Amino acid sequence: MIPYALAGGKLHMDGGESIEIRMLEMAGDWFSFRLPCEMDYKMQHVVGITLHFLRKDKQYESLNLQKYVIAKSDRQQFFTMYRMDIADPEYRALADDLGRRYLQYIENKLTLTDAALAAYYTTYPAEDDDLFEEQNERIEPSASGVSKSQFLDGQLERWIAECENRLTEGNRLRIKELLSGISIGIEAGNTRMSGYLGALLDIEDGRGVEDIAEYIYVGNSFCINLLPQKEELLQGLQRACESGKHVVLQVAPVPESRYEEAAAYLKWLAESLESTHFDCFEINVNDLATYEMCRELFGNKCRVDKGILLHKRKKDVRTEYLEQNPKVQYDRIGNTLYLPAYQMNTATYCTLRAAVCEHDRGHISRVDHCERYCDCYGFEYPEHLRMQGRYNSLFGIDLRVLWDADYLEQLIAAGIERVVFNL
Amino acid sequence: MKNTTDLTLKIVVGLGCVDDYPSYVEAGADEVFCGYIPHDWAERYDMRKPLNRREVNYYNVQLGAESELMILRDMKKFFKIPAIITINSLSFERIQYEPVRQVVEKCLNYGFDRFIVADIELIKYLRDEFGNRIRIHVSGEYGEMNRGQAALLDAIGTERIIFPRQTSLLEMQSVIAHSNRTASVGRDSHNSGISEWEAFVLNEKCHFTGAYCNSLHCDEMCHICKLPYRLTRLSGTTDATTGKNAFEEKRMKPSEHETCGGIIGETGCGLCALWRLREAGVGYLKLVSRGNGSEDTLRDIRALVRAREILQESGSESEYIQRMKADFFANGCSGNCYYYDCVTP
Repeated sequence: MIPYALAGGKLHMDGGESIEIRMLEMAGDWFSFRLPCEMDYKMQHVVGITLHFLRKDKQYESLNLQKYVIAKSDRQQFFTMYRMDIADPEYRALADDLGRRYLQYIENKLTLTDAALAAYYTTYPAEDDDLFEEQNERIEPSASGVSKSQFLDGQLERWIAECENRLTEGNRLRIKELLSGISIGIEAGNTRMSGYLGALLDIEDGRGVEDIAEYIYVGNSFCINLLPQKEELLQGLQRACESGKHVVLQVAPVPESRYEEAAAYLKWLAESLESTHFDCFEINVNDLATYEMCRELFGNKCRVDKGILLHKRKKDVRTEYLEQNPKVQYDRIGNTLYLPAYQMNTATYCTLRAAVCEHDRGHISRVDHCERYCDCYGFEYPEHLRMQGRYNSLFGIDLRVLWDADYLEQLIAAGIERVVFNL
Repeated sequence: MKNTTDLTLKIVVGLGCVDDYPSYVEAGADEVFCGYIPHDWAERYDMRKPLNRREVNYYNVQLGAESELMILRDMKKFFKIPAIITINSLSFERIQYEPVRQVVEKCLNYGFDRFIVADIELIKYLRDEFGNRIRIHVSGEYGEMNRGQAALLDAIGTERIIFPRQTSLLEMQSVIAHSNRTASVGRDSHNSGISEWEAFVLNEKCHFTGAYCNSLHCDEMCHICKLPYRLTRLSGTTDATTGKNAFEEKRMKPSEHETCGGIIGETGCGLCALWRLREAGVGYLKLVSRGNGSEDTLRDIRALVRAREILQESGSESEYIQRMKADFFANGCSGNCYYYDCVTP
């Protein structure tokens, strides 16, 4: 049976009625379809047929059949089968082409590796996955005797160094100007780009971007175990307020097992914040129930936003191999843009813990007392993919925003008022 | 509150094409769920903005044409086993609401009134458009399911919640108990609230959470969770830092359990958890099967039917698990558990 997405059609009846049909089998001069038995009598009212074929470029090509003969072939309990004979060279060409591609896909799926399949249909560089496999043989990171490049953060530093090489003075000045017109935020602890950004923005006196950022993002949008300790949060908030900065607390989706604890934490926070704190405090929440809870607790005092996980959109580092003109990938909340990392996938049960403790990323289970393996480990992917696994999530990393001013301008032009650096 | 020991667990099976409906029903399916994507939708949005979570062209994972929907309607009338339509993409753009409404209207005209939906804004829209003519099952792709989420969904007229894959048995129990205690708070008079709970029991367990999986699900490329990766350390740390020998296995391949083979539940199994699922108040067991071979699905349905029989005959959890394992897994099970918090005797 041919998948409906590949080929289907419509029977047009006199009186303007039409019904979608599914092509079950096809050849160059016929195809079969079926209709519910109640429609048998309608077949004499068919005045036209339109067929749709999915082309290689994923667009549908429609064909209005001119010459055909419909023969009732078999009546079964729930439907009647029909065979439509067609003498139309255009139909033959479309049917033959589709049939070839469908059979080829089945063969490819059965015989090729995932990477080879991707390479067959897209510009995916399968051989670069192989390089990664070779590296696997020789690298087992240890703290001594190996270069930093073999560590996950070393990979990031290598990519940032690539940015430095690509950044022209003209682009640097334009990027600096673009960023000077909007607010800057930074995720606390994620300061790997600090030096690069410092140079990019001409920050002087040995200060880093964290010193000039107006917004400090704490917590984590993806893992509830990374909610800051209460005292740490209050102290950070106090410091931020005193230096004219804002703190944005990111709250991950709250599992039922942590619901009461999270509710108590947020209630405590709402009660603990002094009135002056609310002016420099925001909160991003990643499940709707907790969002509603926060709106009740904080809503009239400070900004409460739906977080990244509640702004769903397709994001995948491989899109560039699949589409000729791929959209720029990013995370965005309202007028706030997160750069250069964007979330692609998140595991409620921590895959990193499963890999470390069980030696099997699939051996996942709920962990309510986290041992913070994400402070020490992450998942590395083939270099060309520009993605990493951190915490319980997979992130794409698009560093082009840091050396290509046109690219950044394109992103910011869509009403962006704040950029949060998250690497 | 229902006496959960009297609860008969219902088997809910994914249907890839109408031809399988009679055999699935005869094998013991109590409900089926399936996708229907009209050609107009496919042409307009293709798989980049899909109607449901089967985002591929080259597989028989959707019913297909309207004529197939009509055939399923007739089968449904004959066998009297419900079929639920999936409209469970993670989110829809506002501009897509009207085309979705048209799909729902068509399904309603053919007697399909239950829909699996993941996007809460779409649920609200459909509720506004169709009132009580439609019955909403919240998809396992909705997001983290806590008691607050259940209350929100209850208030907007949800009939059933399908727990996301990564929900523990204790969490299900807690959410259901809390929902039963607080039932009717915030509901309007036409809303009878959540009365049914469903959980995954067989196949396609994924490391990652469907609601947060924003990556490609297409014909040309594997799912992102199947890409090659390796565990790597951050600089300045050692195994001594964590007390773990994390690199005991040098090579880490993705998805060790993802090959579909001879063992029931090889790609994900919750059979040991049936006792506790029933105890928690879960009444519906999801068998993920769209895209799988019909014979494999028939085997899985029969296994679930048999497991349910053993459950009903057993006087204790340990008896159930022992008998069930003896029946299905004399040579060992896949170990690819949906519910690791189900301690097996």
